[in-house]
Amino acid sequence: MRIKTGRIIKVIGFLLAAFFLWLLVRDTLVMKRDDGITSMKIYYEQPENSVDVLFAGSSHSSYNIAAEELWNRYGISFYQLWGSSQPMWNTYHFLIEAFKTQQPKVVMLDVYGALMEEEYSDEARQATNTLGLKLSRNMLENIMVSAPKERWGELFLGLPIYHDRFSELAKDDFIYYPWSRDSVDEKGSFAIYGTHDNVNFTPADTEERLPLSVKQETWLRKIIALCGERNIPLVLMVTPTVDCAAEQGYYNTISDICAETGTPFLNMNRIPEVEILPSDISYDDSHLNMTGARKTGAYLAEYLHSHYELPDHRGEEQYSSWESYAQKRAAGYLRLLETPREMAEEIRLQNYSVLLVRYGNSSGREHALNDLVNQELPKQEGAWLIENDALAEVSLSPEGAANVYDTDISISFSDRSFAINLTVDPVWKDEGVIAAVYDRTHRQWIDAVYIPADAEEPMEHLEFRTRPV
Amino acid sequence: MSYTGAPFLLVFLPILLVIYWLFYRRPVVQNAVLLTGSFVFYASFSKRYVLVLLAGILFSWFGGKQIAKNRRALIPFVIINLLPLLFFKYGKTMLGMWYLLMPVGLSFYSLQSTSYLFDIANGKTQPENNLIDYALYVSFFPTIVSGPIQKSYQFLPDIRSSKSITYRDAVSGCLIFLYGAFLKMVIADRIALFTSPVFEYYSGYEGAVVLTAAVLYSIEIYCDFFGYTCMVSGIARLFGYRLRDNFRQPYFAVSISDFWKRWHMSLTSWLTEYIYFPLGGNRKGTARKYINILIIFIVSALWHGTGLQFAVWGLLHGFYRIVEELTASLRTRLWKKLGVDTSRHGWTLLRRIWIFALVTIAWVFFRAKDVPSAAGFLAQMFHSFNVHVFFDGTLFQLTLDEIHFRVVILAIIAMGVVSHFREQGTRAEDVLEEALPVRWALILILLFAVLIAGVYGPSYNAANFIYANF
Repeated sequence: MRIKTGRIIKVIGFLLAAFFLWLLVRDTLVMKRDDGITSMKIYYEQPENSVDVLFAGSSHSSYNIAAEELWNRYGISFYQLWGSSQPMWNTYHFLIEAFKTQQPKVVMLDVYGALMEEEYSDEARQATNTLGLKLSRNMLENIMVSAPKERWGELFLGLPIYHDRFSELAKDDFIYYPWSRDSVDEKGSFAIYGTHDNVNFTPADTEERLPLSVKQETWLRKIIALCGERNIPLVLMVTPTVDCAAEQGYYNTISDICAETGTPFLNMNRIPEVEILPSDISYDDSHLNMTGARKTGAYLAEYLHSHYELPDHRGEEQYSSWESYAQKRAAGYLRLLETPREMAEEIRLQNYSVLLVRYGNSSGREHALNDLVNQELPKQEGAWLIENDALAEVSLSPEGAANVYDTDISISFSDRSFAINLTVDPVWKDEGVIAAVYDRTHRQWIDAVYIPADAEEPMEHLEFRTRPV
Repeated sequence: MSYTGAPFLLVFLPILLVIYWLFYRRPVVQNAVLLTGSFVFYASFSKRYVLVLLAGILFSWFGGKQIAKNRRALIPFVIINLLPLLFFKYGKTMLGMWYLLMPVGLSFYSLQSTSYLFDIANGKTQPENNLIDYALYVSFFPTIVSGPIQKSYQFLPDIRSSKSITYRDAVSGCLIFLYGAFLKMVIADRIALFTSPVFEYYSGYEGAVVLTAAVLYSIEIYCDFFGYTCMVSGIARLFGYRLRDNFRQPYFAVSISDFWKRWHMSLTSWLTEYIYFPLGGNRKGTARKYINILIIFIVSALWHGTGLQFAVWGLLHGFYRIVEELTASLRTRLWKKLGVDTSRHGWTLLRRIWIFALVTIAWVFFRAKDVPSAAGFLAQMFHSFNVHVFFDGTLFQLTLDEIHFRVVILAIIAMGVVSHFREQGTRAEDVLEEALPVRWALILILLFAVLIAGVYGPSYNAANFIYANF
């Protein structure tokens, strides 16, 4: 058999083409799950050596901490790199990946994921905690420790798991490529709104020690060693959690490991200064809502500022994405919201005024919005409805309701929505309400939405034609 | 191990190929390597049935030597050689041995070893002295699961010969394999998601849906079996073997006899050579010829399955064949009288549609779990036949949504185009004559069509080939 050089080159060329195509297909088809996959993909977009504080661990390290408080208060750059119920072995490999491009000045490790006793996470979390990583030895090792042998192949190749997503591809599936920087002003944070009505939030006061599983403890110690080897200060933390009495025994064990290794440990369940109230727990009752997250964010900002030398990056060009991120968060959590209910909840929590006007299809939405924001501002926060050129206050409490134009339109905050009930005039096809939100603290209009009368239709965020002041 | 699974494609096949070609120009060692690989492959299904295979090989090898000495030993050896097949196939239903699981590929390798016995008796081949070569003939891993059934006088010389592989062989082998995977995973397995529930619960579906399922099943079974055949042909080519065609665009057939010259050609050829001809074929008068045709189809039906529905399927095809022959001259005269120009493409197309319809009706019996179910299924086609299901989205609310239907339709169109070129004589090697970018684009499109649109992964079991069950 004589092998020709030209053919070898052709074969190699073909294999390379197939390989790059595979990487492209992989990035397109992989599930764009926030809980592990996109948090890693967006991390890759961050400017090199720009993250000073790296939050790692389970969803608690994201949902439970409004980390923009770090930026707002002290100009500290940060990233929340997390995965759903992420066990310590995944966190370890996430950190290995993170340290390839960043040299954080502090790693804040949420240890909630260390409580899981099973050898492996469930199959879905095996995927979300591995599929976001770039192809590398670290990715392979992450897979090998995350799943039984039979799953290694499909997790490594990825396509066996998610190839069928071709039938549901959407805009978001085409933005996470190695060359993309579209999401650089995302920092891994997520927000939940609402309050659980009947939550059992009982900070525990037990000295009992419950053992971690051998696997969890091994990988936790590996994380401590890894940060030690790289001279990266590590802080282990527990964010405020519901029913923490059941978990406190494990946290006591972790506290012992921290004492043994000289690692700081912040158990925010036992730090009264955080001032978490039962009303700060979200609907899903395992995370904090935005009010709670802002409290932990503020506490951690103060803690980090007072314990570590972290530079203030405000005004620096390389850190502009944190500025835009903080602005986006401050000026419009609302923009992230998808339902009128979440919006009403956020408005209720903040020093905002809302102006509402009924909208039909007689004029463009932008025109209606412009007219709206040129109205005289109400003197207090809350929601105000423009009725016959006058303002009528609308309660945003669950019982609140207001009638406008006699019985033609009513707005209420019900379980289902920040509801707009209209007696629809058949001539008006595009019935609904336009709401513009004014931030009284920062004295600016921050968001506007069109809320259709038909509750089946989605709420739509509107752009101000010219930014009103 | 499935031919489409990662363990086979990423571990078993590459390792075996490397070891095999390390012994280039040493066919004795190559055959030993291939035999070892074949047994490892077979043992991956069930280690227990390796013993059945081994016993079958030894018995038929010994039988061949005895038949060479005394031709009268043929019948007892053939009967005993087929006993395991009969036992496993009919033991479950007739002897009530419900726990019996038929060894994978027994139907195929039993016919293959039987062909060896017949060929020795007929003087077409000499008894094989080299047990390794003979064992490889029976257990050749690409074909052991579902054929194609090889005849000893064709395949044993292939085994003995020195192998070589060219760049073109390797690339065309991969291309043929990929095309097979496309047919199997993109078309057949996706259609199965639709047809399986409809065949199972046909009474709950509109007539138009049931008809769609019947038509799609015809395509499914073809893509499943032809897809498998392409895959094994591609694999065999990588080891320097060229398997004979098993399918030649069967749905382009213009008559039932034409269909059987194009469908599962290795089985048809086996039945013709070892049963039809010995029975006298068409040399003993018209009545005997028709009886022989019926016998062939009944044997084929019994080989496929034990249920009465298979017998009906076989008899239907026998009936089609006989009616076709009986009415041949009558039809010719009729078309002539009516002024039908039977040389036109339109007429050919009509005949193809007609044959497809007949074959589809027969496939309903083949697929159904019993005869009443098949009859009920066919009756259901005419019950509440509402064509609105094709327009109001009802069809897409079943097990395959609209986008998956689109994939199926696109893939079938692509297969139709390839079939057209194959019918014209184009072969996989011809793709290699195209300019490099075209060639690469074709191969990459095929590869990624399989990777993206193929039915596989944790939620599916694409490993099951319909014909592996026979």
